[in-house]
Amino acid sequence: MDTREFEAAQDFLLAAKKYWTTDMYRSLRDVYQSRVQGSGKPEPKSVGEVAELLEDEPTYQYFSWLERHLQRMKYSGPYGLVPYFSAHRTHFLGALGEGSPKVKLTLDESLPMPDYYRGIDTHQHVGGLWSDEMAGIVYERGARTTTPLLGEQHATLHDHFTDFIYAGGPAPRLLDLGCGFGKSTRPFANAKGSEQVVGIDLSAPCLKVAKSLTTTIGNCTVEYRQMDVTALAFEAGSFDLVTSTMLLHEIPPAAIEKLCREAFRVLRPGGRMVHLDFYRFPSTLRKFLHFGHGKRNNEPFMISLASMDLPKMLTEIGFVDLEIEPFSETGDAPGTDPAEWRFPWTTICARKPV
Amino acid sequence: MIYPPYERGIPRAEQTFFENPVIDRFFGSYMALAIEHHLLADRVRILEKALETAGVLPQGALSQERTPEERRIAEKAAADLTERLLKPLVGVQDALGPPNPTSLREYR
Repeated sequence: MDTREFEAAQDFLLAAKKYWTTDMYRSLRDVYQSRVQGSGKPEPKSVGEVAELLEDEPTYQYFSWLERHLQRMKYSGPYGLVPYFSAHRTHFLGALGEGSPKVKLTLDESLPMPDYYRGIDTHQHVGGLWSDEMAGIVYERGARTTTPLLGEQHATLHDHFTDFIYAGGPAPRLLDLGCGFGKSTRPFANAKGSEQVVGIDLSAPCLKVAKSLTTTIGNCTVEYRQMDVTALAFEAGSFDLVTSTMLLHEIPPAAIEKLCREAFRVLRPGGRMVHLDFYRFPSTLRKFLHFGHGKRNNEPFMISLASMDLPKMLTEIGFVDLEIEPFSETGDAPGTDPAEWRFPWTTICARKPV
Repeated sequence: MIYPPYERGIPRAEQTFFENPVIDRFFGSYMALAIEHHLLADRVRILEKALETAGVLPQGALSQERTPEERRIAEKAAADLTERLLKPLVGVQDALGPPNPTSLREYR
């Protein structure tokens, strides 16, 4: 496979994903509404009831097939990201820059990878994010089309989220959990008011890319560390803010609870915890499709996160001022039901009492 | 816990979405063919433009009998293409997914 073939195939797959996101989603929504009306029953209140209506519907079957297999062909097969970048391994590893000299990278080769992390090839990324030195480069490229309608504007999602957090007050000492290749961390590193920004992740290949891509930082220190989010190697009260972006749905409920307990410990009194994830749904149909997405995209903990009683758990840990609200990545009014398939973005905010 | 423990190395069932999994696999072949068509069209478009611009394509050049070297290259290309088209029919998953069924009927 040469670069031209790879790029043309990826163009085709992205075009197909855009069709799936718009025209095909709208067709499915119309079929669903027609079936609800034809059933003579009230609008379904549960995912199971939607499944009863839709799982034998050809449009839903093709919708599901395409969701799984467009992603499969994006990552593997003759023109996938994994074989392409593996075939050009030396070139792409050699092209990784050093990043800003002010950015520190600390890896821990002895860190054990949790079973849930090793046992699933998340996003259908063959070998996962941990088993190959190319995984960070592959993931960075793959994430550019995670939200196909945003295209190259995907990075603005993180800028919007950073603005959302900083609207609640400055956070000089900030910890970004599950920072991956640093896409969520870099806006904080360049934000006014940041003094110490730390990003942690399990994946050494991703952290190396994070350092490479963090070329400019504001008036602060930035450090990337390989660490498990359920066992933070920081003193109590070390941070003003603990945050994550698209992390909670990748880990099982027990790990989420450990994460939140650790966040509570490392926050100073009055410090904030703010996560951007998927939790509130504008409709039962959207919830049904989101649960299916979790299965089809090899992200099974999307379902368990959405089924958790987060307010109860956070309150039991000791957090106060809980706010769990829809979040718009495009600037639309949050919580509306758009005419395209979208992630059910949700901000999960809490505060450690003073 | 909704999902059982995961262990690498244990084969997991193929995810299917149609009543008959034959359709799942056949549609994979169809999509692979569609990609190949797109790649070919991409190259032909560029090639035709370049030949037209340079005026180097003699009349009937594309319908002449192939040389032995051209035949060897074409046979290799045919073998590669058919492997890509038919491999989805065997239903092997490259990435390990959840081991349980895909139905959502059990969820509330």
